[in-house]
Amino acid sequence: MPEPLVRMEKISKSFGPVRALQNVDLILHHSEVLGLVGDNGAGKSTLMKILTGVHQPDSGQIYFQGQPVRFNSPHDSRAVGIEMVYQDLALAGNLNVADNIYLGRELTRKRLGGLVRLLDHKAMAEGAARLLERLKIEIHSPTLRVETLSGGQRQAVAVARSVGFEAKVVIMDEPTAALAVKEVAKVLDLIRGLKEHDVAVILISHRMPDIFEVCDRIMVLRQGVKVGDVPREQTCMDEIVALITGAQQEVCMEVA
Amino acid sequence: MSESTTAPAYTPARGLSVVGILERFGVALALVVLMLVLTILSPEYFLTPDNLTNVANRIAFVALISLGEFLVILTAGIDLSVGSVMGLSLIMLAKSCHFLYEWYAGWYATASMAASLPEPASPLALGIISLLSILIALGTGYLCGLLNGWGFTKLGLPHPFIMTLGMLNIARGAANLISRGSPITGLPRAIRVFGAGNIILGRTSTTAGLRIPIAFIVVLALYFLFWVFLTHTKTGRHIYAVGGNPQATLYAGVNVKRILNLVYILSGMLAAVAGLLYAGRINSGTPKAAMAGYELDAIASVIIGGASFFGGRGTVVGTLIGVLIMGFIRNGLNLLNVSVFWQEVAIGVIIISAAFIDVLRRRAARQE
Repeated sequence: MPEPLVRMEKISKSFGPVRALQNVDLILHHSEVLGLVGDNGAGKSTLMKILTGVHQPDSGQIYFQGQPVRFNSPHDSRAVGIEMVYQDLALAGNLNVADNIYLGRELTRKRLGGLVRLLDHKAMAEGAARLLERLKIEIHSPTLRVETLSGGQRQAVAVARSVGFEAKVVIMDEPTAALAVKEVAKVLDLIRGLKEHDVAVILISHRMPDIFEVCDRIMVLRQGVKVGDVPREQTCMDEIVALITGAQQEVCMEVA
Repeated sequence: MSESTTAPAYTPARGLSVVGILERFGVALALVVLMLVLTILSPEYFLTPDNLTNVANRIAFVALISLGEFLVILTAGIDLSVGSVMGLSLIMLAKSCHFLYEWYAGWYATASMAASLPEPASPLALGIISLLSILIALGTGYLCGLLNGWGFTKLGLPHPFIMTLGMLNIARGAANLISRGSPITGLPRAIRVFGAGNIILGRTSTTAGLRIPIAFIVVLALYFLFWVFLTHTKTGRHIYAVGGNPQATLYAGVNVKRILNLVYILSGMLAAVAGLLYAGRINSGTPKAAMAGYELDAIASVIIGGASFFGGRGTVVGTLIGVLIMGFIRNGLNLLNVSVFWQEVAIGVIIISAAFIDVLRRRAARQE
């Protein structure tokens, strides 16, 4: 077994008297899609905030590609290639697709004999077009304004934004929550596509069908404790739901 | 020009929708129609070089505070202080000129080595005095802008409206305190030239030539500079991004507070340059400039020019057209002997119409 891409070991975190996470382990392999599920308040977001450096754990250790790491801010986690895709917060609707993808890391060219650095609109449009094509995202042109796109296309641009810059891990928090059925399928295709580009994904979702469609493995949190971590083929929705709610565990029926 | 880089808003397959055409060319179209109407109504005077020069001269300082206001409105903010900061900078400019001149003249009269120094009234001494005064005026604009920015980003006042409303009153009061309520008249040529100078093209022994006000050239130069800044630099892109979605811009690693401080500082400094043009035009510093409510003209020009109060939308060119529309309406109604009070009514109607067009555009865009 090769060294996993991400290994979080015995992570604990309390907020005052509230024990948000207790000795939680998380493993993410290369090119794997991990489903992270649990009820509201189970600790999913806290765990991801620790992985992205928004919060620091009270105890426990994170390893990235086998090396112990410490993320003091989202800047640190981004530097090693861990990107979080925020639901509705990620894009500026008044800017075009290319501008959004390159926001905060614009390409520039020296002009007037090196006197000024001006934006290289052409290079950004081309780079964005290549990236969209590589990820098989269907958008007519990288110069379309984001506000004219559908919800699914926006989600795709947000993902492209994070993947485009050498992300090795993409964390997606409820990427399909606000989408029409037709668009959900496209976002799920996109997640599957990321595997081919050697990007690992952690998918947080309340929609069990989505989780079962794309995830290789499913990890369940309940009240800050890891209560399940199973490959998808060895489980079923009823079992996962039982783990989430803490009900009596049901046995999965094999369906031929 | 900027359209080639910001790209069509709708898919090429569908072609340009009415909304798209309105959004891109609506303001320019309105300007052309307005000019046509005024040409027809006042055929013997409106389109003459004299009248156009006159309009260019009159709109120059409003054009500059409008440009600053535009930058602020792009970030979904508002700067109510541009008019009074212009007035305060103007007073600081005139006061500095007089103070420095008197100080130097007094020192020159008593100094023993006076023989080797330029006389107070010499071009060199006046030039240095002018330069220092301009720097002091720009510094005043910078400081007012910085404080405006801090009120929002550091003090965390709920909306820039409040901080800049406070600054409006502070600058008005300060302008009156420093000038003791009356104009400070008489400025060096080096300062007057910006507001009152002309470049004359094509003068021959028989024709008078075309007068182009230097103030208008300053305006065009600054508008061009800010067009490049907004559409072709990182910081310019970030200003649009902050207006579109401040949260996303923050997550993208952009220092949003720095951007916000910057737009208020630029607005303050543009107000100071406007003060410089104003000073040259009337050859004095008058506290009245701080009290005339020019900030409202600036806001009106920006809105007429197609910028959105919600931020992130609008162009430098649109703002200039907004300024021109305001200028031509005032000028045209003057030519037609329409009372000033009716002019105010007309401008009010146009502001409301421009904002309503923005509402229609947003509504149509949602239905796309």
